[in-house]
Amino acid sequence: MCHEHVNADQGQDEQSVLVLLPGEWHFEKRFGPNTVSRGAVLFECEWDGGRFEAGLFISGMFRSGQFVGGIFLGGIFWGGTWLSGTWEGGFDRRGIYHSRGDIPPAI
Amino acid sequence: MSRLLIASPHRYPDLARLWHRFVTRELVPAFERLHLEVDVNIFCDANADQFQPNLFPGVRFSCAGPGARDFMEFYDATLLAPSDFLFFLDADTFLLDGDWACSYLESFNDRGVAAVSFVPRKTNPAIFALLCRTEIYRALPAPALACRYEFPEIWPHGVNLQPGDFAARELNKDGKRIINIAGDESSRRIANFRGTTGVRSSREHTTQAAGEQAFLQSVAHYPAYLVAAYDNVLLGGLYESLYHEPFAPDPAGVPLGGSLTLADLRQALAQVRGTKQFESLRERFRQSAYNIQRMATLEGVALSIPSVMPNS
Repeated sequence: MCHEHVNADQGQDEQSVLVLLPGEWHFEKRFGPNTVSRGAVLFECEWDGGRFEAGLFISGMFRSGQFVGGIFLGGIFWGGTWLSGTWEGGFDRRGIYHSRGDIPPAI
Repeated sequence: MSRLLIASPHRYPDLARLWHRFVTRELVPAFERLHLEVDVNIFCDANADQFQPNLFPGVRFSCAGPGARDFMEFYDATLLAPSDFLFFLDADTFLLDGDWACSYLESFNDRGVAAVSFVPRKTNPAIFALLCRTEIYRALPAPALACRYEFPEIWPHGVNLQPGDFAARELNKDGKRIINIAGDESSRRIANFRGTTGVRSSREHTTQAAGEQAFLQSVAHYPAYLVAAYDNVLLGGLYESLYHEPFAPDPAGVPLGGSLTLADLRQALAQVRGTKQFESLRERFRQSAYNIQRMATLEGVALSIPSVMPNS
């Protein structure tokens, strides 16, 4: 894990972004809006507002944020935006299973 | 003549070869003696190009595609295939006594019996080895067999229905029964391993997405992987003695490198803390060793079981 200071938007205050890196494995943790995954494994974690760029999201709750890349497996895609990545299987917010290659239904 | 379809999703051809060996030795002939027309279907959930049909005589293969994009959809898609009875048998579940399994066929003379569950999950019926009357399952609301997550709004405290659990509940509402073979009887007739495919696919996914180190960390934190990795060591021992090929190799061909090598397993076990967890693992390993020895005995093979526990 590392913290980067970035200007998220022109005119906004600088803010700290938590970057999750390849080789990291997290269990039962919650990650908020200022988080970016660039290759970590999140096992039974809650994702709420950040940007998932790469890594493995497994058996957790994707509450909000952007899924941009990486693998989604066995979790619940409650909300947020699916932009791209590999859907290996998981549930929508009604608890209905969607098979490999599917994409989460639009919220 | 009634038709029986034995169906199983597989991801790895080496495990499928062991599965096929026991199915064709025990199950197929036993059911054919009861004058059933038996069809065996292996669904290649992944790695379809690695399955060589000539190594699986008598098997009909199907691959992931529209209508059955993965093993989960395969269960429900299979209900539509021609059959009167359907036997779902997990990739790492080995029936050692076909006549015993067949003896339960007469249970279906009772029209209220929908299925026989030969391997329970805890104490409940499960899909691991489930002989179904197909028409009863076809009548259930689709998808009948897929898993579901109920009450997702209270995650992680919702209910994660496993494949077949929803169907079991619906059948119960309709007054239909699943005969649930208890664990004691089941374990005398069946060698059941768990998660042996899961740990291998997890290694594939984790390594691809986050690197090998992340997978090794996950093993240290997740005891189910240790059990599954141990089971793969045992299955690998039997496989190699039968076929003289590595089991669960990694892309470089290292035996068990696609699961956990013996050295990595020993190292992971050395990091386990807590007497209770050790005792639990020890008991589970003992059961697995007993299972593999029974399979080896049927094959006429002498197996030595490697020690993996620290100070054992």
